[in-house]
Formats: sequence, C-alpha cells, structure tokens
Amino acid sequence: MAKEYLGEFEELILTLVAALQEDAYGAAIAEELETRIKREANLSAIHVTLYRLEDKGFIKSAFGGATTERGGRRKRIYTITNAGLAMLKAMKESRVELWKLVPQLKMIGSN
Amino acid sequence: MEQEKIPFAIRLLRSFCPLHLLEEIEGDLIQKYEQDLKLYGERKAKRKLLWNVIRFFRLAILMRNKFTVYIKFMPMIKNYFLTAWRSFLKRKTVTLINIIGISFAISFLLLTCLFILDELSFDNFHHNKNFIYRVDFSVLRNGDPDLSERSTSLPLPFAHTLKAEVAGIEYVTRFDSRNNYLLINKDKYLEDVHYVDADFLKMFTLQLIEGARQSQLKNLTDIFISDEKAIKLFGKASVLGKRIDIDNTSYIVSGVFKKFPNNSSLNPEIIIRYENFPPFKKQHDDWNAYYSPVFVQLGKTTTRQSIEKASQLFCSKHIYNNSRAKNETSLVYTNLNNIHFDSEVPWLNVSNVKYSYILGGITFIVLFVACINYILLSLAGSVSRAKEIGVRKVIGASRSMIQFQFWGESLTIIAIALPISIVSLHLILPQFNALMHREIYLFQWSLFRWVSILGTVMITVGILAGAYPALVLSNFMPEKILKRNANGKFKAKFSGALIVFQFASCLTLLICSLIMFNQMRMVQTRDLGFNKEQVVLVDLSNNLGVSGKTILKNFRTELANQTGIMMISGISSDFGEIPGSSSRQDSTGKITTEYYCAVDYDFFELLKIPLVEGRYFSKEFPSDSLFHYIVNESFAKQTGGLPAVGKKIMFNPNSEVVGVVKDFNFQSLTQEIKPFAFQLGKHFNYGKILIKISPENIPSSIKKIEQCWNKVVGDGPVKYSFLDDQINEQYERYTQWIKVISISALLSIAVAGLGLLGIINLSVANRTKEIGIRKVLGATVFSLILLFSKQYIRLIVVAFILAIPVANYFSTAWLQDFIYKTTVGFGEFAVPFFITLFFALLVMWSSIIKKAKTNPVEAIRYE
Repeated sequence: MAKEYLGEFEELILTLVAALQEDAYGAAIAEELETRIKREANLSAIHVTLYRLEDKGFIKSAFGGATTERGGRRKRIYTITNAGLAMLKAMKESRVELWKLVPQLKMIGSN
Repeated sequence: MEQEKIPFAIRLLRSFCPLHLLEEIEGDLIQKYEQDLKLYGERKAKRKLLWNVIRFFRLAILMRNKFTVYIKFMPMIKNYFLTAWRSFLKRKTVTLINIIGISFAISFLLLTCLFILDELSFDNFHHNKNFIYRVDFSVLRNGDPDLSERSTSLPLPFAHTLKAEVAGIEYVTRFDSRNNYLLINKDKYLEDVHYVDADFLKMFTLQLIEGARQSQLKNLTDIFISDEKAIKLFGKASVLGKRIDIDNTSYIVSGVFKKFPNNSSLNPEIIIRYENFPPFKKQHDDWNAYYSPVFVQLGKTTTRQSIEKASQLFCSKHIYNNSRAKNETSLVYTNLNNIHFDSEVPWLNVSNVKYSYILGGITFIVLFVACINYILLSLAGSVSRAKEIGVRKVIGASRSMIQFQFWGESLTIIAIALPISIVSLHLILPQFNALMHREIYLFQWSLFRWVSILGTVMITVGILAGAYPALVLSNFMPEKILKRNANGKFKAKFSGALIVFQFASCLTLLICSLIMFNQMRMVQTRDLGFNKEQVVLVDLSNNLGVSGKTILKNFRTELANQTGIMMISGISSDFGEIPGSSSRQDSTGKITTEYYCAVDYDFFELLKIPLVEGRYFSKEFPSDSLFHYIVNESFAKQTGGLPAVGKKIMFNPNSEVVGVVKDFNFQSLTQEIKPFAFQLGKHFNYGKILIKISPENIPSSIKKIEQCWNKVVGDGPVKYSFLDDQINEQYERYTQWIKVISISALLSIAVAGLGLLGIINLSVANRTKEIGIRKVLGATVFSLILLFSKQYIRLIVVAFILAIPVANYFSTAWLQDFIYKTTVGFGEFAVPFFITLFFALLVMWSSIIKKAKTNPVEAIRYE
C-alpha cells in the first residue's frame, strides 16, 4: 500500500471522479452525491477535496468548453490519473481482504 | 443569471477567492443557484447562494491565493521606510522637534483622558446610583433664582417624615460625620465617625469583608469599620465583635467593609447609627435644628421631577410653618451621579466641571501647537521632498501611494513619541496627583482600554498632524515640481497664519497665567484688616467631654505669664465659616442679612483689628458678657450708619452696641465683607482657641501649648494650625490650577519656540545661496538677521494683538470669582509679549547668525 492515505470523503470523491468521467466537475459531483447516496455535501467541501486530491496527484483537471449555461463560466473537468486509479484499486482490495475476515452473519431482522 | 448585474454574493466571492479557481467555483455556484431557483424560488435560492459563498471562506481556499501579489509592493514600502529614515537623519533637529512637541501633546492628551475618566468614574461603583439622590434645601433670595442658595443641612426630623409622607421613596438615610475620640483598650484615637440610618447599607454598595448585610446596624451600638481603619486601630482586619468606646458609649464591631475608593463622594470609614448623633438625642423632633444631609433612594418608577413636585407640598407644610425661614424654600434632589460636579454645594471631593474644560482647553492648545509645528516643518521641508515626490510620480506612484507614504511618516513619528510620552506621564503623575489630591495611575486601565485609547490618540494626532502634508504634498504635479515651480506664495501665507495662531494661543495661556498669578499674590499679601501672623488655632470642635469654654478658661490660667505666649482668645466658629445669620425683609421687599459670631475677650486686640468707635470688650464691664455687641463697619452701615454705639441689635431689645471695629476680611476674598456682629460667648461654645505667640522660638511655644492641652483635656493629640496657613488653604484650589496652567503655558511656548527654530533653520538653509549673494553684494550680518527675522516678528505682533481680547475674556471670567480683583493693566499683557518676543528673537538669531557669518563662497557653492 502507498504511503498516502485517503479519507473517507476523499475516497468517495475520487470514486465519483472516476465514475463520472467527462462529466466530473464540482456541481455534478455534489448532485451525484445527493441523488445516489443521499449525502448532502457543501460545494466548498467538494472543491477543497478536489484541490487536495489534485495536489496529491490522484486527479488532474482541465477546463471544459465554454457554454451558455452557468452564466458562461467554464467547467473544470477532473479526470482520474493512473496513480489515483491504483490508489482506488488498492483501497478496494484491502477492503475486500478485511471484509473476508468478518464472519458472515445474517443481519437480524433484515430477512 | 444576468451578466451586467453581479450579485453581492459573487462580488463577495471575488474578494477573497484565488483568481485561478474563481471561474469554476463561480460556475458551480451559479449552477447550484439555478437548480435552487427552480426548487425553492428566488429568495431562498439567493440566500442559499450567499451561504454557499460564505462557506467558501475557509483556509483551504484562502491559502490557495497567490500572495506574490503583495510581495510586489514590499520593495516599495521598504523604500518608503528608507527615504523616511534618510529624511529623518538628514533633518535631525526637525525630527527631534517634532518628536518632542508631539510627545508633549500626547502626554497632555493622555493626562486629560485620565483626569476626565477619573472625574466621570466618581461614585460609579454604587449599584443603585441612578436611584439615589441627595436632598438639598434650596432658598430663593428675593425670589431670584440666581440668588438661590442650596444647602445640605436639613432639620433632624426631616428624613423620616419625608419617607412617611411623600410617596415613591424607598429608603432614606441621614449622613453626617463628627470628629470623635475613640477609646480602644484605653488608647485614644481621633477619628471621623459617620452617623447613618440603617437604610444606608441597603442603598450604598459596601463590600463587606466580615459580617452579614442583613444583621448589621440593627442595634444602636453596632459599629461598622473599614478594613484600612481596622488595621490602623487594631493592627488587623478581622475585628468582628471588638469593642470601641465613643463618647462614653460602647460599640461592638458588627461588620468590616472594604474602604471606599478614592473616586467617591462619600468616604465613611467608621459608621454608627444616626440615633447616636449628639444633637439628635436632644432635638430629634425640632424642625429648626438644621444638621445633617439626607439621602433618599427613589422607587424604580419615580422620577426626580415627580418627587420634587410632591415635595413642594411637604416643604410648605413643615418648613414654612416650623422655621423662621420665610423665604421661598424648595427641595432639590441631586442624583448621586451629579454630586461630584455640583460645585455649588460644598461636599467631599466636589469638583467643578470648569476644570475639566480648562484641562481640555490646554490640551487642545498644546496639541494644536505641536501639530502646527509638524505641518510647518513639513511645509518648509517640502522643497527638498518635492523632487522625491516628482520622481516617484513619474515612475508611476499614484496619489494614494504618496499619501500613504506621508501618513506613514507621521505615524512613525507618533509611534516614536508615544512611549516617550507614556514614560514622561508616568513621571509627572505623582506630582499631578499630589497637586490635585487625586489618585490617578497609568496602570489602572484594562489593556483593552489602553489599546483603544492609544489607538484613538495615534489616529487623532496622526490625522491632525499628517493630513496637510499628505494631502498637499501628494497633490504636486510632477512636471511643475521638476521644473521647480512650487507655489511659494500660498505656502508663505498659510504658514504665516499657522504661526500666528500658534503664538496667539501660547500668549493667551501666558497672559492668563500671569494675571492669575498676580491675583493670587494680591490675595495672599493683601491686608485683610487683621494681623494673621503667629496666631495658633487650637481646634475644639470634637466631643472632648470638656466644654470649649472650660478649656479656654484653663488655657488662660495655665498659659498666663508663660514666655512666648502673648495673648489668648476664642471664637465660636472657624475662620471663613458663617456662624449664624438673621435675615429680614425691609419695606421695599429687599432682604438684608446680618451675621453673628461669638468671640472671647481680647479677640480684636489679638488680631490687631482697630476700633472705629466705642471700645473693645472688657472685664471691667460685667454686662459685656450678657448683651453687649461689637459690630463691624458694614453692620453699622447696614443698620443705620455711624455712630452706632448705643444702638440696639434688631431682635434683642436689651442689647447694646458698645463698639465698632474696622471692616476686616473674615471670609475668603472670593466674598465681600459681610455685616458682622460679635458678642461674648456667654451662651455659646467655642470652636477654636486663638493663641498669639511671639515670633521667637515658635517650637517651644508650640510645645507649651501641647503640654497645656495634655494637662487640661487629657492625653489625646492636640489639633492645631496656624492662622495664615489656614487662610492660604482657602485659595488652594486656585493655586493648584494656576500651577497647571502656568506650567503648560511655558511648555507650549517652548514647543512653539522649537517649531520656530526648526522653520527658520529650514528657511535659512533653503536660502543659503541668497545669503551668500547678499553678502557678496555687501550685506552686513546685522542686516541679514533683520531681513530674516522681520517677518516672524511681524507675525508675533499680530498674534499678540489677537491674544489680547481672548486672554482678557478668559481672565475676566476667572476673576469673577473674586470680590477683590487685581488690577489688570498694561504690564500683564506686555510682559508675556516681550518674554515671548525675546525668546523668539533669541531662537531666530541663534540659527541665522551661523549662516550669516559663514564665508559667502561656501554659501554659493552650497548644494
């Protein structure tokens, strides 16, 4: 495993950047977070996390084309780097490893 | 979202967001806003937008700003400091003059702040201060409100009748003090004892150290004592249950409280119940027995106006019917907050607001003088700075940058002056406190207060001093400066006007202080109509257990034929105090008042008061001690003129006037001589013994008096004073302020003089070449000096002309206090003028003569 660690929120954002591909920018990520996992996140939190991930080299960014939406402001589209992908994979594997250690119990009352 | 109208939220974002991140963040925010707009409507969406923007104000975003933007300015600011430092060094004298002047000004400013805050802090520590009032008894003379006299002495039954009959009074207490002998374990101490009612503790805020508030002063023999007095009397602060004997009654200490702070109008240290007040025991329901002040605490809903109105009825019911005072009387309620400034009524620590204004005025003048110095000096120096400004502007400095530079320079000077002034103030304060009987300390303020006050001072002085240079010098047009086309004429006029104002205010201060000085000298050396030298006054006003008359009698026998003791007599009251009076209304409605006083044999002989008519009191006439009077000239004049011998005194049909003495100033010279009648103290007690001693070997005579006192009265300490000291004490509050004003006058003159020195130095330096050329063409040193000093002499003369009416106005207002005024003549104005002129000439010549004497070749080569 790499020396770098990812926080839970960082991991979430990184995964979403990977998933959204061409459509990965601040507001879209916020929307996805809200619709998919019912998590309300503030825009500023998402932006700060994105910048941090970029500093760590897990994602890179480029401006998208100009549109007439959003008051004419360009989007900054984030894409995951190889390092980010490796990190994500490593994390997922370690989770799976750990998950295997957990005795497979049935959840009570879940049927 | 419309492009042209940028909403506040976005503008806010732009103010802190790093540029390279701005576009996407803005875009995301707007996208979110547009979503919210559909979901919630415009108002809520806008609110959400603003909130989202505010959430972006976080370190993780802020720290992404590129601070290199600011670093760009650093060399510029560094350069400002460098040039400022160079110009300070280049003109060391000017910088020094500025620093000295501004530190003086700041010292005065801080002193005034301290003084005024101390004044305002009086009695602030009482929680109920807004509801506590002192009841003043006001008498209108001739129905004229200007002639009304207020006094705090009220009849003994007043307090409780008032509370019972007038609605809206929550608590009431009488408040009086007497000098008493305290007996503790057979040791005698002379202390002030205060007599109050039990409500006193509920009204005023006493910090109890020992004892419980509820149980105190329940019993008539309870006594309260301050911690300081406890330590003085018992050697420790924990004295609950100890016994103190006063006037043959035993009291038990039931509470110890923290001594009231100095800024308090009430300062009781030993408190007992009012029922123990000696006159109260005899006359507690006598409406003619005017003794103690009364304090009331009004209910929260009662106003002063309503209670004064309600009291009017009370007043006419009790005071009119019961007293001889047929004048218009009313009750005036003075709030505890105002007692300190109510100088019409004599009270502990009372002060006149006038003095705050005087100090404020002086501060303003010193500040004014120092700031003008700064302005003048930077104007005079602007010729050499102008090029710098021109070059800066050509390179691209904006006007605001130049302003910033000059504000910065003046703030630097102030920052240097500030610590100097704090240190000097710290050194001055003990003297000031001693002079004014205050306890003001630099470190009594909280840090917050200090920071805010110093900040305000810096900004005020900075704005006053730095404004002109910053605004005017920054306005120079570079091409004009570089072409050497400064608008010199306007500057000369402007600085001339400033110098005139500067010297006019200094001269005003100087003239006023000289007039005050003369007045005080006149007051202290004036022939009062009696001989005040070598007269010892022995105080008898305490409860000694022995009547004053007996003491006097024993003194007479004990001290008879002792060497050094020349004559002995007694008087019923203090010098300066009005003993008793009687007023009548004559047929025209005018009210005349005569004053009565009891004296002993030899009184007039001892004080060398000459007779006009008749004779002195003498033991050869036994009836003298019954109803014979000696009156002064004013009395005789008021009651029908001379000859007065053989006439009767108004209210006593058996009386007879046996002598008329020349008028003498029984009271301070702030008052005119009043009609007085003196009688022998058959029915009165004596308050003072007068002993005339010979000028040789005064200590041994004093010793004899002390021995005699111990023999006659007991082992308590004798309280004595010299008559001339006591008379001078009457003028103490005037001499205090004269000292403050004259010192500040000299200081401001010194600051103005330094300023003048600086200006002339600079203008001489600027005209070095001119001097050289003039010398080459044959000018003498003297003519050069005349050339340069001529204009300044003219300015000082103009300043003097302006100062005359102003000084005259203020000194006349001040002299209004005195009945006997010094004559203000030509000298009072001329002397300060010539002193100032001489001083200014000295300053000017010393700086010109150096340049005028140098070899013209050097002068022409200058620069």
